[in-house]
Amino acid sequence: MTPLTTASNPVKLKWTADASVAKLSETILKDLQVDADKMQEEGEDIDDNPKYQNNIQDPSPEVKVNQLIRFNLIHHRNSDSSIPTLKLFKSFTSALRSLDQFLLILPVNSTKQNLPALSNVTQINSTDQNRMLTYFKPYFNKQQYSLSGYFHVSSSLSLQELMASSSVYEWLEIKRYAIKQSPSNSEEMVQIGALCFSSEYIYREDPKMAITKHPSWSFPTLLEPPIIHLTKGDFQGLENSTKMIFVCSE
Amino acid sequence: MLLYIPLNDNITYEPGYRQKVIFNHDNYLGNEAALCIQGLADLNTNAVLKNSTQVSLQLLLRSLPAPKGMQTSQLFRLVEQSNSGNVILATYYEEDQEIYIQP
Repeated sequence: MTPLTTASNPVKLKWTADASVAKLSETILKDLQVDADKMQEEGEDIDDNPKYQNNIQDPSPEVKVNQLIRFNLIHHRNSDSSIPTLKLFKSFTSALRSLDQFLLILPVNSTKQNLPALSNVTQINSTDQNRMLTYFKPYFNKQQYSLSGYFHVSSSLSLQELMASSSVYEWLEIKRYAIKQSPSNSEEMVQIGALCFSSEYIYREDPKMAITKHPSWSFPTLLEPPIIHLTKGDFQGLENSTKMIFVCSE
Repeated sequence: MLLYIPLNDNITYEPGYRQKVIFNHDNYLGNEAALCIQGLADLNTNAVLKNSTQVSLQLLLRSLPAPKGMQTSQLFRLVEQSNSGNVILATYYEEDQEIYIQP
């Protein structure tokens, strides 16, 4: 009968004393000796200090870094829509979220970044009209049936990868929308001025280039000059409006 | 000519001021219409005239004289690449539309 061990009289067994381990070691040693003899007969050099191949792979998992992306959705001209903006918002953001589990829908306004992001489908589906306006800035104030406007997301995928995916591509095609990346991903672009007497048909890259290459376009206190962008829009009066080129900046 | 109007001034919220800007802007430009030209070479391409002068295609198109009866002395008011980059836009006054749609 095996004596019971207690804390007062512990049995100290060393693994080397285990008969089966010792026997196995002896077998392995014999096999190694046989292999070494064979190699010597064949004229091969025997390395006394064999190098073991390190089969351990890099244990650090691939960490995907999220990037901030600002873009705007543009509804194609002459395409009707009877779907309310809120419903469009939910279906579009759900399509985006289904692609990337790390995707976050962030507040558009850069001063409201402390508000929580929409990170899952439950949050997206529970969004109401007022909450939606934190995460989506429409082109017009009373926009009820269009998702034309600005978005701010954080994703491990690039905007091109998001757009190329089947679910987003299908959504854009069926609902007749196009995506355009914002010139600045760090801050939203706001209208700071308008160019009076500018034709709406002007090639906007030329005046933009002329502004940014001008000697007075220097900002010694900033690391980089602000990004500007020229857009076409309506200059609204009380009763009428006119097409004008607007200067937008970060 | 371009005049920059800052939109962060309080004056830009005054209806009278906005009305004045719209009036001046529309009066200066008139009713503008545009036609699209596709398949033409890049507007910066140089063309050689008979007298061996080199001019850009854009300048050449803008210099085309207008036929009699038009409000301007040139055929096109503006010749620009479209912002999408697909076509070339040439603008004219809407009042002269008949000249451009003649067969």
